[in-house]
Amino acid sequence: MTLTDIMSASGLAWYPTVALILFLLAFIVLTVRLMTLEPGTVEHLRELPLDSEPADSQTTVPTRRR
Amino acid sequence: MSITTPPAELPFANGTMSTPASTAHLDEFSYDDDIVRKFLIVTFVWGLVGMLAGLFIALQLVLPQLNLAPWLSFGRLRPLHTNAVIFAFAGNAFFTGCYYSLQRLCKARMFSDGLSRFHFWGWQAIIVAAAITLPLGYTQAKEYAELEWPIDIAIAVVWVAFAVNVFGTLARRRERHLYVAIWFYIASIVTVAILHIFNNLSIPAGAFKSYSIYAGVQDAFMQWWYGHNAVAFFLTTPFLGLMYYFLPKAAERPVFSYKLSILHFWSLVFMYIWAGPHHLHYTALPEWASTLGMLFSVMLWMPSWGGMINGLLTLRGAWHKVVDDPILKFFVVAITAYGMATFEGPMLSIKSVNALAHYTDWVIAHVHTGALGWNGFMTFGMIYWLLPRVFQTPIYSKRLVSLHFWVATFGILLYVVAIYSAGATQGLMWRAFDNTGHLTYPDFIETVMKLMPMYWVRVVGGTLYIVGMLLFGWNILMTWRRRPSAYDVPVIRAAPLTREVVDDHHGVPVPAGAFTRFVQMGWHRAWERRWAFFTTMTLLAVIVASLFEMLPTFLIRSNVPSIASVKPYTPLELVGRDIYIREGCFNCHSQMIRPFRYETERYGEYSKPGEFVYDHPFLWGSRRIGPDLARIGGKYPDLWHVRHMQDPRSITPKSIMPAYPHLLTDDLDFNVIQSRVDAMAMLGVPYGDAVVPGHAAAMARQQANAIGAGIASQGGPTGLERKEIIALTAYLQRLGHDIKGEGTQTATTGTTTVGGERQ
Repeated sequence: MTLTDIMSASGLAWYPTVALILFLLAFIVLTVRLMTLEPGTVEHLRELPLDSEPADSQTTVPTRRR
Repeated sequence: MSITTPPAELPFANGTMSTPASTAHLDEFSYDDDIVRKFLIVTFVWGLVGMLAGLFIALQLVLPQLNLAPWLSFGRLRPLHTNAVIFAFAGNAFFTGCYYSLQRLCKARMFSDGLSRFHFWGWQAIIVAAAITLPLGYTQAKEYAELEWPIDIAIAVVWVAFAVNVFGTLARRRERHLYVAIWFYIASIVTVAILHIFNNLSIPAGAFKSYSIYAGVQDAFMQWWYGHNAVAFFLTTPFLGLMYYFLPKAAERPVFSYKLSILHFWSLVFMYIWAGPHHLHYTALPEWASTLGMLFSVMLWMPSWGGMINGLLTLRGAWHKVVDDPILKFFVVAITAYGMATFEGPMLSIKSVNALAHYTDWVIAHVHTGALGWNGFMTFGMIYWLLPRVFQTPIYSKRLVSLHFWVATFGILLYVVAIYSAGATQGLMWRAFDNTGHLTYPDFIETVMKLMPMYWVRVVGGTLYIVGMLLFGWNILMTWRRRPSAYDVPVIRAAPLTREVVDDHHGVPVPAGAFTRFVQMGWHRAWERRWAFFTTMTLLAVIVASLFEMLPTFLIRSNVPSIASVKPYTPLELVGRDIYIREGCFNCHSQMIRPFRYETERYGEYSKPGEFVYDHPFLWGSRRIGPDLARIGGKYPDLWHVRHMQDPRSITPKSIMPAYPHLLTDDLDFNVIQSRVDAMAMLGVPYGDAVVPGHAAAMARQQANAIGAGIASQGGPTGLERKEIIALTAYLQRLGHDIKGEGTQTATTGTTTVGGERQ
């Protein structure tokens, strides 16, 4: 008996159902994760791009030529 | 050498309270902006090439005489256009932004300068290889995956090098948290690798010829799993990552809602992968897969708009800047176009809407809203923002930036309004019946002629967009010329990450209760910090969704009921099919009749899954610039096909089809037939005696002689039996033949019954 035999005998109806349940579970986990984020962490994360490049850049001497 | 210090509010730039050990040592490093400059320049160069190719093929649709040579014909240049704008323009734009932002968000130089250069030169070499091979007709006939197997292998190697470089950088980073832009980069990198590898699995039948290991329905399913997600993970998620970095930088304010970004990231990653089957509604795909694809596509609207809303609301309180800053204008239009395209996508996935829009120019307008608006304008905004920073000189002309914005915006509007109109016109004309119950427009050419004014407006819109590109290029060139004689390389100082992680709540009290205990487990924050684990979870989401969708299609027999009368193509028909693929006929002609009365009236019996079991690859097509060909076999005599290919306008005066006179003069290469039959046999196609060395070519010659004699007897030219036109005619006459229930011969019967099956 091959996997094809098993799959062919088992019908199709449950595939879309399982797919939607999987998504629902993932969405619930995600929602819980969002609800548990601390505001401080969120603020820190929001600011990351703005902090990623020092605004008070003290330029070095040229070290690399074109 | 002076030192560039990290900002004061992040004393150790890693987002956590560092241990005393980390305060004892600060790493010094610099960012590699040279690689950013390289990718930036080629983004413009390839963008211009790809868009000029697009303009040229748009002109060919109104002036078919511009199909000047075989290698300049619409069928061969259209994939060059799509590949150039997707992988060369958008791809290099993504790499530009990724290399710039990743280093800064990780507070680390790229893992390997060598890998960065290998990635750059390797990717450009692949683009050059595509630019040479596609016009020469080397194609796998899969949209956005046309490149043949040696180039596919090169793509995989270069992509792995890019991935190693990115993940190596993540491993060496000095910022504990992975910003959401990096999540989008990771999702793009791993998913594109999976899509590319599995959709391109094929059996080589020559140096630049291969056959997909999948056939018919399964190949179609695999292709649109790839095709839709190539849009998702090459044109959407990477650019969302760029948006999350460059929009806050340009607006000088943080993203509106970080929580929303998390929500829409995971929703997108989880849902996108299911949506591919909406490209195959009402085809021979199993109905359950089609409906599932539609459901997830409709659901996709929400996470997509999560990104759009997050982008636009990031500008809350900064809209006054948009008035003066053309860079922000580019971003605003880009995000708006993203919102429009991602509303329209779910709408198009609804079956009743899809029935009208599929195969029409509506889809082309939809795609260009996304490509010109979202990808194009995000790229322009990002590069204009980067120019003074990476070339270390003020931008040459802000007025030119503004002019570029308005010219390109007007160009997009002209383009999409015209082509949306063309799409709706096509769809409505194809399905129109008169009061007597007959098709109102039975001749396909009537619907084509109606579109010509709209196609001309598209040419004007596309020209304006390219004028904008030229302004863009001029600004880049002049800014580059003003660069300093030597670039400054700031030295950054940041603490390395410690193994010990102490959660910092950034001074905000954590609420008591069950949630607090949950929070104290720290599992969610750990996800973001452990890039390997995070990547694994992303992979899991993609793979589980893919398997759930594919396994039933591949493993359940009832999905593709076999049809006893459907037999493999004869060796001559097979090589004729290869010519059909080489000339890119599938770019304009579908081979899939949907079960609608207006289709069966026009084309014949609707298509069944079992008809395509030997089609490696499937050739259902995705648009109808010309009529469907699934039942063309036997509709006209052989001589009609010869005359039609030689000069389409001698048969249909208003036809916009390219002429293929070279097929009547170019010799058919019988030497390649055996290897192609052998490759198909390896894929399980029952070729019987044809796999015996020499038999396939002999069978092909025998059938070619019969067809050649038939054409001569119909008053056509003589001596065609060794020309390519004979093989193509044999293939076209076979289409739909098996399903009509006429007597048929097959290659499995050996060399004795080849040819003459239509007599």
